Amino acid sequence: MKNNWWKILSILLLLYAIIYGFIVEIPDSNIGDTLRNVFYHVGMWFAMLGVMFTGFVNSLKFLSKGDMYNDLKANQSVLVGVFFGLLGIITGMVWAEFTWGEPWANDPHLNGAAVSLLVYFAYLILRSAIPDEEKRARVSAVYNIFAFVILIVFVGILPRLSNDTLHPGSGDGNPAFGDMDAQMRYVFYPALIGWIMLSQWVLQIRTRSKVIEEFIEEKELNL
Amino acid sequence: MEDQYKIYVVVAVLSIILIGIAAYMFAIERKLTKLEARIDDSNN
Repeated sequence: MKNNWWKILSILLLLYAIIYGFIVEIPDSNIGDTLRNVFYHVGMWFAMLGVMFTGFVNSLKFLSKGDMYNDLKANQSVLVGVFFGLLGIITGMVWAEFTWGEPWANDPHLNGAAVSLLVYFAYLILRSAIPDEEKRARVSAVYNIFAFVILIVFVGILPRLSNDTLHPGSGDGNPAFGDMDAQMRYVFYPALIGWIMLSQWVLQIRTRSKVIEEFIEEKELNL
Repeated sequence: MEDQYKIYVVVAVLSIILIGIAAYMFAIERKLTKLEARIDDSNN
Protein backbone atom coordinates (compact mmCIF):
# COMPACT_ATOMS: atom_id res chain seq x y z
CA MET A 1 0.00 0.00 0.00
CA LYS A 2 2.92 2.37 0.58
CA ASN A 3 3.37 2.89 -3.17
CA ASN A 4 -0.31 3.61 -3.64
CA TRP A 5 -0.64 6.85 -1.68
CA TRP A 6 -0.86 8.90 -4.88
CA LYS A 7 -3.81 6.85 -6.09
CA ILE A 8 -5.74 7.59 -2.92
CA LEU A 9 -4.67 11.23 -3.20
CA SER A 10 -5.96 11.29 -6.77
CA ILE A 11 -9.39 10.03 -5.65
CA LEU A 12 -9.48 12.53 -2.78
CA LEU A 13 -8.65 15.40 -5.15
CA LEU A 14 -11.33 14.26 -7.59
CA LEU A 15 -13.88 13.91 -4.77
CA TYR A 16 -13.02 17.46 -3.76
CA ALA A 17 -13.45 18.55 -7.39
CA ILE A 18 -16.85 16.85 -7.67
CA ILE A 19 -18.15 18.23 -4.37
CA TYR A 20 -16.85 21.80 -4.62
CA GLY A 21 -17.14 21.85 -8.39
CA PHE A 22 -20.91 21.91 -8.03
CA ILE A 23 -21.06 24.13 -4.98
CA VAL A 24 -18.44 26.82 -5.60
CA GLU A 25 -19.74 30.26 -6.59
CA ILE A 26 -18.80 30.92 -10.18
CA PRO A 27 -18.50 34.32 -11.86
CA ASP A 28 -21.22 35.49 -14.22
CA SER A 29 -20.42 34.59 -17.79
CA ASN A 30 -22.28 34.09 -21.03
CA ILE A 31 -22.07 30.31 -20.65
CA GLY A 32 -23.72 30.18 -17.20
CA ASP A 33 -23.35 27.06 -15.09
CA THR A 34 -21.69 25.15 -17.93
CA LEU A 35 -18.55 27.01 -16.88
CA ARG A 36 -18.29 24.22 -14.27
CA ASN A 37 -17.38 21.86 -17.11
CA VAL A 38 -13.90 23.28 -16.87
CA PHE A 39 -13.25 21.07 -13.80
CA TYR A 40 -14.01 17.88 -15.74
CA HIS A 41 -13.73 18.43 -19.50
CA VAL A 42 -10.37 20.24 -19.33
CA GLY A 43 -9.19 17.52 -16.94
CA MET A 44 -9.53 14.99 -19.76
CA TRP A 45 -7.06 16.96 -21.89
CA PHE A 46 -4.56 17.27 -19.08
CA ALA A 47 -4.90 13.55 -18.39
CA MET A 48 -4.19 12.93 -22.07
CA LEU A 49 -1.20 15.28 -22.08
CA GLY A 50 0.13 13.58 -18.95
CA VAL A 51 0.08 10.04 -20.33
CA MET A 52 1.27 11.16 -23.77
CA PHE A 53 4.24 12.78 -22.01
CA THR A 54 4.90 9.47 -20.24
CA GLY A 55 4.80 7.80 -23.66
CA PHE A 56 7.20 10.40 -25.05
CA VAL A 57 9.67 9.80 -22.20
CA ASN A 58 9.44 6.03 -22.67
CA SER A 59 10.07 6.35 -26.41
CA LEU A 60 13.19 8.42 -25.66
CA LYS A 61 14.30 5.82 -23.12
CA PHE A 62 13.74 3.04 -25.63
CA LEU A 63 15.91 4.75 -28.23
CA SER A 64 18.73 5.27 -25.74
CA LYS A 65 18.61 1.87 -23.98
CA GLY A 66 16.70 -0.49 -26.26
CA ASP A 67 14.63 -1.98 -23.43
CA MET A 68 11.44 -3.51 -24.89
CA TYR A 69 9.55 -2.63 -21.69
CA ASN A 70 9.83 1.05 -22.64
CA ASP A 71 8.32 0.26 -26.03
CA LEU A 72 5.45 -1.58 -24.37
CA LYS A 73 4.81 1.27 -21.97
CA ALA A 74 4.93 3.91 -24.73
CA ASN A 75 2.38 1.90 -26.71
CA GLN A 76 0.07 1.62 -23.70
CA SER A 77 0.46 5.36 -23.03
CA VAL A 78 -0.83 6.16 -26.49
CA LEU A 79 -3.81 3.84 -26.01
CA VAL A 80 -4.72 5.42 -22.67
CA GLY A 81 -4.07 8.92 -24.03
CA VAL A 82 -6.35 8.35 -27.02
CA PHE A 83 -9.05 7.13 -24.62
CA PHE A 84 -8.90 10.31 -22.54
CA GLY A 85 -8.65 12.40 -25.70
CA LEU A 86 -11.85 10.84 -27.04
CA LEU A 87 -13.55 11.55 -23.70
CA GLY A 88 -12.36 15.16 -24.04
CA ILE A 89 -13.80 15.43 -27.55
CA ILE A 90 -17.12 13.79 -26.63
CA THR A 91 -17.62 15.92 -23.49
CA GLY A 92 -16.69 18.99 -25.52
CA MET A 93 -19.23 18.08 -28.21
CA VAL A 94 -22.01 17.68 -25.65
CA TRP A 95 -21.19 21.09 -24.26
CA ALA A 96 -20.87 22.69 -27.72
CA GLU A 97 -24.27 21.36 -28.80
CA PHE A 98 -25.90 23.31 -25.97
CA THR A 99 -23.65 26.36 -26.13
CA TRP A 100 -22.98 26.91 -29.82
CA GLY A 101 -25.95 24.95 -31.16
CA GLU A 102 -23.71 22.49 -33.00
CA PRO A 103 -21.38 19.76 -31.77
CA TRP A 104 -18.50 20.71 -34.07
CA ALA A 105 -17.83 24.38 -34.74
CA ASN A 106 -14.62 24.14 -36.81
CA ASP A 107 -12.85 26.05 -34.10
CA PRO A 108 -9.01 25.91 -33.93
CA HIS A 109 -9.21 24.21 -30.52
CA LEU A 110 -11.45 21.45 -31.81
CA ASN A 111 -9.63 20.89 -35.08
CA GLY A 112 -6.26 20.89 -33.32
CA ALA A 113 -7.47 18.23 -30.89
CA ALA A 114 -8.88 16.15 -33.74
CA VAL A 115 -5.65 16.36 -35.76
CA SER A 116 -3.58 15.29 -32.74
CA LEU A 117 -5.83 12.31 -32.15
CA LEU A 118 -5.51 11.31 -35.81
CA VAL A 119 -1.71 11.51 -35.49
CA TYR A 120 -1.92 9.03 -32.63
CA PHE A 121 -4.30 6.78 -34.53
CA ALA A 122 -1.62 6.68 -37.23
CA TYR A 123 0.88 5.59 -34.55
CA LEU A 124 -1.31 2.60 -33.69
CA ILE A 125 -1.77 1.71 -37.37
CA LEU A 126 1.97 2.09 -37.99
CA ARG A 127 2.67 -0.39 -35.19
CA SER A 128 0.27 -2.95 -36.54
CA ALA A 129 1.90 -2.70 -39.97
CA ILE A 130 5.41 -3.74 -38.88
CA PRO A 131 5.68 -7.42 -37.97
CA ASP A 132 9.32 -7.39 -36.83
CA GLU A 133 9.40 -6.53 -33.12
CA GLU A 134 12.71 -4.68 -32.96
CA LYS A 135 11.98 -2.66 -36.04
CA ARG A 136 8.45 -1.87 -34.89
CA ALA A 137 9.75 -0.65 -31.55
CA ARG A 138 12.38 1.61 -33.10
CA VAL A 139 10.19 3.09 -35.86
CA SER A 140 7.26 3.72 -33.52
CA ALA A 141 9.50 5.28 -30.87
CA VAL A 142 10.79 7.82 -33.40
CA TYR A 143 7.25 8.45 -34.63
CA ASN A 144 5.93 8.87 -31.08
CA ILE A 145 8.51 11.56 -30.32
CA PHE A 146 7.33 13.55 -33.35
CA ALA A 147 3.69 12.88 -32.44
CA PHE A 148 4.16 14.42 -29.00
CA VAL A 149 5.68 17.55 -30.50
CA ILE A 150 2.72 17.80 -32.90
CA LEU A 151 0.32 17.34 -29.96
CA ILE A 152 1.93 20.24 -28.08
CA VAL A 153 1.81 22.44 -31.18
CA PHE A 154 -1.82 21.65 -32.06
CA VAL A 155 -3.29 21.63 -28.56
CA GLY A 156 -0.97 23.98 -26.71
CA ILE A 157 0.35 26.57 -29.17
CA LEU A 158 -1.80 27.05 -32.29
CA PRO A 159 -5.13 27.61 -30.43
CA ARG A 160 -3.47 30.40 -28.46
CA LEU A 161 -2.20 32.12 -31.58
CA SER A 162 -5.62 32.06 -33.20
CA ASN A 163 -7.78 35.19 -33.04
CA ASP A 164 -10.73 33.44 -34.54
CA THR A 165 -11.97 31.16 -31.80
CA LEU A 166 -15.21 30.62 -29.91
CA HIS A 167 -13.66 28.50 -27.22
CA PRO A 168 -13.92 29.94 -23.67
CA GLY A 169 -10.84 31.45 -22.12
CA SER A 170 -9.18 32.41 -25.38
CA GLY A 171 -7.29 35.61 -25.91
CA ASP A 172 -5.79 35.94 -22.44
CA GLY A 173 -3.11 33.33 -22.12
CA ASN A 174 -4.11 29.75 -21.54
CA PRO A 175 -7.00 28.67 -23.77
CA ALA A 176 -8.76 26.88 -20.95
CA PHE A 177 -8.22 29.04 -17.89
CA GLY A 178 -9.56 32.46 -18.88
CA ASP A 179 -13.03 32.88 -17.36
CA MET A 180 -12.10 31.61 -13.94
CA ASP A 181 -11.77 33.66 -10.79
CA ALA A 182 -9.62 32.82 -7.78
CA GLN A 183 -12.38 30.75 -6.12
CA MET A 184 -12.68 28.51 -9.16
CA ARG A 185 -8.96 28.01 -9.37
CA TYR A 186 -9.01 26.46 -5.90
CA VAL A 187 -11.12 23.71 -7.44
CA PHE A 188 -9.57 23.68 -10.91
CA TYR A 189 -5.91 23.03 -10.11
CA PRO A 190 -6.54 20.17 -7.63
CA ALA A 191 -8.96 18.68 -10.18
CA LEU A 192 -6.27 18.76 -12.88
CA ILE A 193 -3.75 17.05 -10.61
CA GLY A 194 -6.39 14.46 -9.69
CA TRP A 195 -7.20 13.70 -13.34
CA ILE A 196 -3.52 13.51 -14.31
CA MET A 197 -2.83 11.02 -11.52
CA LEU A 198 -5.95 8.99 -12.34
CA SER A 199 -4.81 8.57 -15.95
CA GLN A 200 -1.36 7.47 -14.76
CA TRP A 201 -3.09 4.91 -12.57
CA VAL A 202 -5.06 3.57 -15.54
CA LEU A 203 -1.82 3.46 -17.54
CA GLN A 204 -0.11 1.48 -14.77
CA ILE A 205 -2.90 -1.11 -14.75
CA ARG A 206 -2.81 -1.42 -18.55
CA THR A 207 0.98 -1.76 -18.59
CA ARG A 208 1.02 -4.45 -15.89
CA SER A 209 -1.66 -6.51 -17.59
CA LYS A 210 0.11 -6.17 -20.96
CA VAL A 211 3.37 -7.44 -19.42
CA ILE A 212 1.46 -10.47 -18.10
CA GLU A 213 -0.12 -11.00 -21.52
CA GLU A 214 3.29 -10.90 -23.25
CA PHE A 215 4.63 -13.44 -20.76
CA ILE A 216 1.75 -15.82 -21.49
CA GLU A 217 2.17 -15.40 -25.24
CA GLU A 218 5.87 -16.20 -24.98
CA LYS A 219 5.04 -19.35 -22.97
CA GLU A 220 2.56 -20.44 -25.60
CA LEU A 221 5.16 -19.99 -28.34
CA ASN A 222 7.61 -22.20 -26.48
CA LEU A 223 5.16 -25.05 -25.91
CA MET B 1 -35.72 19.40 1.33
CA GLU B 2 -35.57 22.75 -0.37
CA ASP B 3 -34.95 22.80 -4.10
CA GLN B 4 -31.71 24.73 -3.89
CA TYR B 5 -30.11 21.95 -1.84
CA LYS B 6 -31.06 19.16 -4.22
CA ILE B 7 -27.80 19.52 -6.12
CA TYR B 8 -26.21 17.84 -3.08
CA VAL B 9 -28.07 14.66 -3.98
CA VAL B 10 -26.31 14.64 -7.35
CA VAL B 11 -23.00 15.38 -5.66
CA ALA B 12 -23.59 12.40 -3.34
CA VAL B 13 -24.37 10.12 -6.29
CA LEU B 14 -21.25 11.21 -8.20
CA SER B 15 -19.10 10.76 -5.10
CA ILE B 16 -20.37 7.21 -4.58
CA ILE B 17 -19.67 6.37 -8.24
CA LEU B 18 -16.12 7.73 -8.00
CA ILE B 19 -15.38 5.86 -4.78
CA GLY B 20 -16.87 2.70 -6.30
CA ILE B 21 -14.68 2.96 -9.40
CA ALA B 22 -11.60 3.57 -7.25
CA ALA B 23 -12.33 0.51 -5.08
CA TYR B 24 -12.83 -1.53 -8.24
CA MET B 25 -9.48 -0.36 -9.66
CA PHE B 26 -7.73 -1.37 -6.44
CA ALA B 27 -9.39 -4.80 -6.70
CA ILE B 28 -8.14 -5.16 -10.29
CA GLU B 29 -4.64 -4.25 -9.13
CA ARG B 30 -4.76 -6.92 -6.43
CA LYS B 31 -5.61 -9.47 -9.13
CA LEU B 32 -2.66 -8.27 -11.21
CA THR B 33 -0.33 -8.56 -8.21
CA LYS B 34 -1.42 -12.19 -7.75
CA LEU B 35 -0.81 -12.94 -11.44
CA GLU B 36 2.62 -11.31 -11.26
CA ALA B 37 3.46 -13.45 -8.23
CA ARG B 38 2.50 -16.58 -10.18
CA ILE B 39 4.73 -15.51 -13.07
CA ASP B 40 7.63 -14.98 -10.66
CA ASP B 41 7.04 -18.47 -9.23
CA SER B 42 7.05 -20.11 -12.64
CA ASN B 43 10.26 -18.27 -13.56
CA ASN B 44 12.11 -19.74 -10.60
